[in-house]
Parts: sequence; C-alpha cells; structure tokens
Amino acid sequence: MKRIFNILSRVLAGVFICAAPLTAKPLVVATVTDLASIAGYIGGDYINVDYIAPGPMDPHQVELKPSHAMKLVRADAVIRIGVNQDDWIFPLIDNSRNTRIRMGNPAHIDASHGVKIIDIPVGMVDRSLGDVHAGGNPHYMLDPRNGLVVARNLTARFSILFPEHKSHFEANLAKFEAELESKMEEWQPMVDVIKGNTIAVYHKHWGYFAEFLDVDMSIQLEPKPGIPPTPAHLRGVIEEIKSRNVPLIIQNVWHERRSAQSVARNTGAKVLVLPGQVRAVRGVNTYFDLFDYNIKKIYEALK
Amino acid sequence: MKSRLVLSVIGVFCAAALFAQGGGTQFGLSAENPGISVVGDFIGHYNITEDKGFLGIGEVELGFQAYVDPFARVDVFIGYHGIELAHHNHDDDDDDHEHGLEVEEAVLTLTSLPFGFQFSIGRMRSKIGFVNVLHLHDFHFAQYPMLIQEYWDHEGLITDGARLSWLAPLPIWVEFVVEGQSLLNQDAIDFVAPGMNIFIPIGDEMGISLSGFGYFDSGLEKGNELVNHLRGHVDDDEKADLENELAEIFENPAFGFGGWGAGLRYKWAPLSVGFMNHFVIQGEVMSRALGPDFYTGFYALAELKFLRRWTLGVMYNMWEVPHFHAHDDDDHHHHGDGAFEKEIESVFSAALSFYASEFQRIRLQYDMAMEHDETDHSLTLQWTFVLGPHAPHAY
Repeated sequence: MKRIFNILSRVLAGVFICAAPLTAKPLVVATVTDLASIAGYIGGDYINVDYIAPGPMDPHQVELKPSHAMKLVRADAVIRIGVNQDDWIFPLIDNSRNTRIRMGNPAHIDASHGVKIIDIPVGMVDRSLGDVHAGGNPHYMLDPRNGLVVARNLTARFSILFPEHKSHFEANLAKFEAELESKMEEWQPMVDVIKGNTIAVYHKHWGYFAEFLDVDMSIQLEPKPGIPPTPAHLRGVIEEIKSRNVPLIIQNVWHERRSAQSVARNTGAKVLVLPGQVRAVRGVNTYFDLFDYNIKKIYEALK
Repeated sequence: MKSRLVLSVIGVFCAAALFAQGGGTQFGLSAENPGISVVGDFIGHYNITEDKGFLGIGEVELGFQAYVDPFARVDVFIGYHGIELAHHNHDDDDDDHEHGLEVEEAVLTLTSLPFGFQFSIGRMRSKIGFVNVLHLHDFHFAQYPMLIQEYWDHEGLITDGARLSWLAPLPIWVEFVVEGQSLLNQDAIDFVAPGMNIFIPIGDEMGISLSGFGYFDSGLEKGNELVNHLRGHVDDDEKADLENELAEIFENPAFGFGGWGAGLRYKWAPLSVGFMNHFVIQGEVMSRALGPDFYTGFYALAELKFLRRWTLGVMYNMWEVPHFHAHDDDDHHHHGDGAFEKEIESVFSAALSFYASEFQRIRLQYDMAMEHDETDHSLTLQWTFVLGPHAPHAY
C-alpha cells in the first residue's frame, strides 16, 4: 500500500510540475485582442498576456472551446469588455474552476468602468429590435480616447493585484499616454479630411469611431443590429446612399461581403473591409495599429 | 426506510464529460433575477411510406439559470413534450412517455471547489458521450442519435443523482468525471459511470475531442428502451413468453458492468471567414447490456455550415437490438420460453437548416429507416425558437 501511495505521489507531482508555468510572471487573459494589446502595453515585461477571441472572430459569437477554459485555469486576472458584449466568458470561468477570477473578485476586471457608453436603449428592449445590447453600445474600444480610460483602469487594477510592479505599470501608462497624444497629432490631418462625411456601415459597430471622426454612420446595411440584410432593406439603403451621395461603405472582416458589394455596384460607393479589433487583419498587431490602419484607409478612400 | 440516496463520492478515476454548457447571458435582466429562457420547436412530420403526417408542438423548454451565491449555481429546465418523433413502431412506448410538463433538469453545481473539482447534485443529463449532455435543440438533427434513443430514452438519459468532475492540471483539457444515479428506485444508487473527456486544440481553427466512458448498473429493467423495444415487437401470443424470459433475466439483478462508449469529434471553424463556416465530423460507439448479452451500435455525422445562415448535415445510425423468438412445438404451441436474437437496424438522415436569425431556425430533415426488410421514408420540418438568454453552445 505504501509503495502504491509513493508511486501515485510521484506521478501526481510530475503532472503538477509539467503543468506549472515556466515563468513566475502573472498571467492576464483578456476576452478580446484590443484589451490584450493595452494590457500588454501596461503590463510590459512584468505580465504575460493572452486572449480568448482571436482578432478575425466576431466577438458577439465566439465559439467556446475547452481550450479557452484552459487559458483561464492558471490566469491571475481576466479582463472583459463588459456591457453584455462578452458574457460568454462566465461559463468559461465556471469550467476553468478558477475561483480567483470570478466576478466580484479584484482579478475580474470589467474594462468599461469610466467609459461613456452610447446608444443605451430607452424604454422596452426586446429582440424585435434585433441584437440590441441592453447596456448600450459595447464597441467603445473604437474610440482611442476610451483606450486611454481602459489603460488607466488596468494600471490601477494591476497595481492592486501585483503591487510589486506598480511603479512599472505607472511608467508604462505614462508612455501610453504620450504615444496616444503623439498619434492623435499624427491622425489629425487625416481626421480633418474625413470629418463631416456620411459613411454607410454594415453593422452598428462603429458608433464610437463615428464620434471620434465626427462622421455620420447612421445608414446601416443590416435592417436591425445582428439581423442579416434583406433585399427590401438593401433597396432602401441604395436609394438613401444615392440621394445623400454617400461615397463609402465600411464593414468588419467577419461579415459577409456580398451585400456591401451589391450596394456598391448599384450606387458607385466604395467598400472598405476594416478590422474591428486588433489582429483582425495582418499588420494590425497593436491598439495603435488599429487606428493607423483604419484612419488611413478611410482617408485614402475619401481624399 | 426508503430514502433517496445520492452518490457519496466513489473516487475519482476516469470519468467523462462533455464540455459543459454553463450559464446564460444576462441580456436585459436585472441582476436580481435568474436568466429566464424559453426554447421550443414546432414539428411537422410526414411519413412518405405510410402516407401519414401530423403537425404540432415538439417541445417547449423553460429555463431558469443563475448563481445562488458565490459558491454555487442552479440550472432548472421545465419541459413540455408534445410530439415525439420515432422511426419505429414503439407501441408499448406510448405508456412510458407521458406528454406534459415535467422537471427535466434541476441541478445545483458547486463552482468554487478547490483543486479543479466541481460537484453537481440533482436531476441532470448524464454526461455519457458527446450528445446525451446536449439539449435536443442544440443537436444537429431533429432527433437524438438512435443509440441514445434505443439504449437509453427518447430524451436521452436524465436521472437523479450526483456528479463529481476533476479538471487535470495539464496543458490540454482532460476532465475526469464520475457520476452516480438512481435509476430503478429510490433505495439505491444503481448506475455509476466513470469516464473521461479530452480536447486537443489544433491552432485557433481546429480541435479534436475524445470521449470515453463505462458504466455499472444493476439491470435497469424499468425504462430500459431495449426492453420496450422487445415488447413492441412481439405478437400478442408471444408476450407471456417474453415476460417470462425477462423475469428470469431481472430476477436477481446484480450490480455489474453494464456497457461502454467512446466518441471522436473533429471540428474546423476557419477564422478567415469568422463565424460563417464550419465543418464537424463526429462519431460515437456505445454498448449496452441486456441480461448476459451486449448490444452495440454507432452513429457518424457530418455537418457543414456552407453559408452564414445555412447548414447541411448527414448522419448514419446503425445499432443492434434484441428480438424475441418464442419456442414453438410442431403444433405452434408456445412452451413459455424463447430466445433473444440480435438484429441490426439503421437510419440515414439528412438535414438542411436555415437560421433566420441567431434565435430562430427552420430545419427540413429526411430520414430513411431500415428495419427487417422494410424501408421507411419520412420528412420532418422542425421550427425552433429561442426567447431570453441563451446559453452559449458547446464546442
């Protein structure tokens, strides 16, 4: 019996050693790539960062896998968008058995704190309105000014969770702020050309980006959020684009292309397929890359 | 004193589980209320061979899901069952499957146990294989695979009991589960199933799932679909002989090995087109004891999501079932005994599904069932809707 116990102990010890992290760095897992990018910026060399939903995947409809839960098993913190966008994280947390990152604990970070949420529905909300988020538009990361709010949130929470690196996090936040300020100056001439235009969109995803660019993105190819375009609705969109002389249609990489192309053929408007988040297309590897890419593409299409 | 016992943990050795579908979203609900959902379907069925058809409610399922406190969650599903699709003539089944409201599941799960453990207690879907744990509306076809229906129940194996699972501290998903259930009566735990579920990711786009389980039981006379199958396929003058044979088999039910199962699933969901396309192939083999004999079957399915709103699936089921032959003398008088023989039945199904939105699906399914020398052709229209928060789909 003693011998069996010894063998079992050694096997179990081996399993745990094999499964142990190779470094002592804390692991932070974000639901989406935008948050992972900013977490990596603030955490720097002192935190390992991973994410659940890859960039090209529609964050509304993430196909859950056991491997996603495995990422959370050893996570020291989890970061989510909030505003009902990534509630799919909850069953993953349950299945990971990692009680440390459950909602209500400091290691469960809702990045939306302090963000001014737009499009909060008034009155009764049901699915006759489409896939409306009761908490408002969750795509706030598409305004770089909200990226700064998130960076500050993460700095504050990381400093509580990993206080030994607080000074590094604060230094990285200062660098983030400086780089954002520099980028804003770089983008401003292009934004000046873009602002005031009307741009049609496939999905009501770009509201915060529209506010940042000061453009009208009220024409949508989807009749209601999350409801695929219907021929009747597209006919109305075509008429509106023609009457308002709209030069551009933008859509995310994860939506089908035929509807936008059909509208473009009938109106002469250009179609841009843009990354809605970091790593959705090649070359967009950071939060700043996302705006470099999108602003430049829209500027070139409109100039 | 009769009391309902549930499993005090038997130990953790290989057990199995599909990747559980956990909680629902809190769409539009206050934090104080549980997630409330209604999932239902309407069924239109036409048997081409017999030129008969019907239309009605298939199932309406009311779900309440929420955390009880920081340590536990509860999932309750109350179901109404209307039309029950079956490929075969289960005359005796009608009495066994009462239509109406029933508590399908009511399970409390402790989510805060240490060392990777999770414990559930209540009425639950047994985690044997890939499909039994799924609610029917989450499956690729309008009916469960025939293995589930014939070896367990039309609605799958749902029992009262307890389950302990352990997630191994390994780089890939390896979960061991053991569950104990009371199937026959309220005096004892008479079904114990240990098993294991493994998921091997292949990049971000592909993954392979493996499932294996065995189970131990003590006869399972009541609710045993194989027994019902037998009763549904004997002549009136053979019924007494069959009951004699069954009585012998179940006279002294002993707890022992009752069967096994294994499954393999491959799924490909390319990121380059986001959520638009996926391809799944999946198969399971199961064996089930009836008396001294084991009956084995399998199903294999494939589903392609070829457009954002369309899927096409095919499934082939083949399984062994017992048939009873009474012993006759020269004058065809029964002697009060007989013999069981294995016969093979099979069903081929093809389903085309259209998703009007994320919450409404219309499915047209064709089935070709082969039993004895007869072939039965049928068409099924299934219209499924979802109200309220909907638990995310398993991988």
